[in-house]
Amino acid sequence: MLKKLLVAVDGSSQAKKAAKYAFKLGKAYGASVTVLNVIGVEPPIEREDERKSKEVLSHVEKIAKEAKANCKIKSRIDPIIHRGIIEEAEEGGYDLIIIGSKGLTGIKRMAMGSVAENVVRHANCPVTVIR
Amino acid sequence: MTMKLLVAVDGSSEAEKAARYALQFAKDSGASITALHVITSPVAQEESENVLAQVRDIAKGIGVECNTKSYINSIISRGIIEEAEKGNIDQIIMGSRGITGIKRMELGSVAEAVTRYAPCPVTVIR
Repeated sequence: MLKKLLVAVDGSSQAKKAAKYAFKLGKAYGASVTVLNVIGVEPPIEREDERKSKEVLSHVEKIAKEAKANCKIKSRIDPIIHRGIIEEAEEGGYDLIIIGSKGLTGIKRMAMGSVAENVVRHANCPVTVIR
Repeated sequence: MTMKLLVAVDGSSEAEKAARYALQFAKDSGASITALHVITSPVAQEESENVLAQVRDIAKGIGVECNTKSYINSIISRGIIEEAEKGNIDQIIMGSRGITGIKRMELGSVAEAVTRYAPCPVTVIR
């Protein structure tokens, strides 16, 4: 049923939880897991942005290793982060998007961030919101 | 410990899709699953029975055991969240919009409120 999973991460603790969930699910289904970090800046991007994205993704790779799971990593540039996630999901034909309920820029007391909300709202495939 | 899933249904085609997804997911993962229909008035009890019977049929077809429950709460999203809290549910699965939703709407108010306020992960199916 699930063959291709996409998990969107941004270095937040919620994103880590989402990644862990994705790896668990991926293993249970024998599904491939792609970890995506959207660099939310207007091109041209600076080295610093690229470095940050790589750092986030390599951290998730470590989590994957600990979970003994395989994953692909990918970064994508889109100043509108939820659009970047949704377009990636469409282009890649993913079965499920997994995302934390709020990311790095979220306010603690907020129940759901704008990126998660917009992904749930506009994605063409099922979305799991982790908290 | 086995995972506990809750699928919220309402007789809509989106809910049916969600139920199929959730039941298959339960079967594949060995999770226990409850199908919940929140109704706003006891008057709808009989209709609710039909909605839940349909889910049991789907479960039978897939070959998985499924508990069903109807629950009365004037605010549907609150009913779903309350049941998830009471039942220590690990994941809620539901359709992106229900039976009262407008076709062109991308996300109904119930799905939106549940994804926003649920105590656990929520999967929205479309």
